[in-house]
Amino acid sequence: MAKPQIVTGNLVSTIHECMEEHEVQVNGRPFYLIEVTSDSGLFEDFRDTYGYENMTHFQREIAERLMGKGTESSQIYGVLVSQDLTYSFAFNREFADLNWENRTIEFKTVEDVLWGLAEKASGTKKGGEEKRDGMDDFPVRPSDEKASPFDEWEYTRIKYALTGKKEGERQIKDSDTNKDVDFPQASLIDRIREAYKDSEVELDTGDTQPEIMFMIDIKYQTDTLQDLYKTYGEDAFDDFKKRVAEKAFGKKQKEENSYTVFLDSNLKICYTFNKRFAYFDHEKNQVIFVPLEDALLEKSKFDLSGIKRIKIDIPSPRRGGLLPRRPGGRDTKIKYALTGKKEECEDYAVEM
Amino acid sequence: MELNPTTVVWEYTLACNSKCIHCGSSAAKPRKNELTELEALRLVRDIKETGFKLIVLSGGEATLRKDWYNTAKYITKQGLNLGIISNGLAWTNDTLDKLIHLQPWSIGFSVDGEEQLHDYLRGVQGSHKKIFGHIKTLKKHKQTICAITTVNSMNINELDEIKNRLVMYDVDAWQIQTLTPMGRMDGNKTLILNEDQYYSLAEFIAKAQEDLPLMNIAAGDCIGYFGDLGTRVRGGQWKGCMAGIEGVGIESNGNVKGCLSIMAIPCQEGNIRVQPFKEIWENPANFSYNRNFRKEDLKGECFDCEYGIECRGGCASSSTAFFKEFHHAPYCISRYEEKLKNEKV
Repeated sequence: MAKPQIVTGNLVSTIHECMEEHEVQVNGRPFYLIEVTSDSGLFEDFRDTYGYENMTHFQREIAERLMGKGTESSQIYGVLVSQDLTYSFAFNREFADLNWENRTIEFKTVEDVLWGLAEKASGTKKGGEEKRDGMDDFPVRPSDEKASPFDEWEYTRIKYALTGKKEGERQIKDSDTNKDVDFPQASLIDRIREAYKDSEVELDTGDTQPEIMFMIDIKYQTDTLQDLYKTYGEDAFDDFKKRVAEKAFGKKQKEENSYTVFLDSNLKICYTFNKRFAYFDHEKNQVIFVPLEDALLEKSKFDLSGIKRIKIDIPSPRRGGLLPRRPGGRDTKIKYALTGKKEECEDYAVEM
Repeated sequence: MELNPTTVVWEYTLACNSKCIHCGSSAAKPRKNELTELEALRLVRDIKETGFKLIVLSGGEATLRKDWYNTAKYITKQGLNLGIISNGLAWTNDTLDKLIHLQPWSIGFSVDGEEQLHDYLRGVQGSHKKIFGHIKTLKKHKQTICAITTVNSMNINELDEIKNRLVMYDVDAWQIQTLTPMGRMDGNKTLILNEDQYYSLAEFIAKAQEDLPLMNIAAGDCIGYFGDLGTRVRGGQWKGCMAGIEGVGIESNGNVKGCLSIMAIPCQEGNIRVQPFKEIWENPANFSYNRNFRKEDLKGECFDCEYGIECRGGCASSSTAFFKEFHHAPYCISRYEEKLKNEKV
């Protein structure tokens, strides 16, 4: 099936720019590292990451006991996103983390994982995450358009800005990962796919056959004005609207924006819109854009008269003279029951 | 008084697909015996012969009649200016194409608030969105757009937002008028402005006119007329109600009135099925409340007003709606200013 070719208002480039802040190096190639939270079984993640066949009988028994086979709880996954914005590799943060010294993603050994959990269980080690200074918070959550199990998710935090590389010993499953990501441990990317399952929507672009996509929401600190121009295209802005936009959103000012992101079945980010300017219509399965004028008005809580006056194209000053009629003006001057264009304008002061 | 036939406002049909809670003509279903297409075309020719310059197709909702376009086309063919007031609800792309082809002198839409309030007052969800969608399309084709806002106690606080929206959509003209107790609002004064609100509305209009010199912001005939602010708002040009002098209203069954908005008392001057339009207009005995006005006709507080002869008691529609009589302005800026002065003293 042909992929939807959505061009209008697609802000994937904005997401790309944001992702660049989370760039890491894996096998000499750049990836973006993000974080996704999902309910899943820690034991099953452990088993699938390290492979049962590589463990001793004792290790398996300890793992089952410590992690609780078949028990679901909230897990945090690190996800490596390739430069074409495809989710390529996922790992449970209990088993791997960033090595800030080597700037690599480093998996713990089976023994280390079990030992750590045993210590935690016996209370000899404090659980929980350590907050690192200088890391970015990057909340990720599924779309809130409709009630779904995802609505119960807390915002998760991503705190990555490192480069690193770890040489692998074991090949990972082809079906699960991008071949560029080469770790001895297996990818848990299917966990992410599972997690996003409830956020599936049918996206109708109008151009091609509707396609099932995952729809999630994210928030970033971004330049809204740039999003506005990208969404509607600079051609949609006359001088007046540009001035309003700049005054309303501020030039090169970042603020928190919410985005709806669509991923295809390969977990590739295909389409994104800023929720200030569009929404997903669940009945029509379409992205509906707010008229540009409304988007501007929403943010313009100030009198636009002044801006309108500034943009007036004034001919060379002629003291006491009359301004020309607006283009298309008619000769009739009637004010009764219905009003037409202003026919003549007396000279007036113009605020510059 | 010298006649200056200028504008015909024509209720092309009383059928309407809006359910405005303040509709002055209680429009919903067509009148019995509305003019046929042929009668309508003949009337256009007669209007032209009588010397009028502008025909405004109104309603009800004029575009609900299938023959509206033929009549509109004939109006322009006769060299008359065409105006259309519509709610735009039933418009299709074809309607827009036709309008763009017609190049009307002005296309008017009622804008009574921001989305939520407008839709509430007009009784149709999505009405506001539709209107501004049409305005956007029509402005792309350089059509002249007029917004008409009927101000009441609910939307008076949204005027700034409405103004911003009209500026944003590059609307050419804005007619601001007050709600009067007639039609569906007959006897219901809940939405009627009080004197203070009326005066602050006039202040708003005067400021908007100054702030937006290229937008044609006009106070409806119900707002004025003298005093400091009244003179500012009307540009010092109020010469009394022009019903039957410059303007005339025609109901969809052929009845001729000085103004379609005079509802509260019967004032049909004739019917074009009985008598040619020109004869009705030129009969000196008709429209006598304005044409044969005398100072003694002034009523109420207007009776001994210093501007009485010039003003003739303001808008005939407002006067009759509030008091069931002519020449008795329910609101008056000069009266209000006089009251303020006296209070100060």
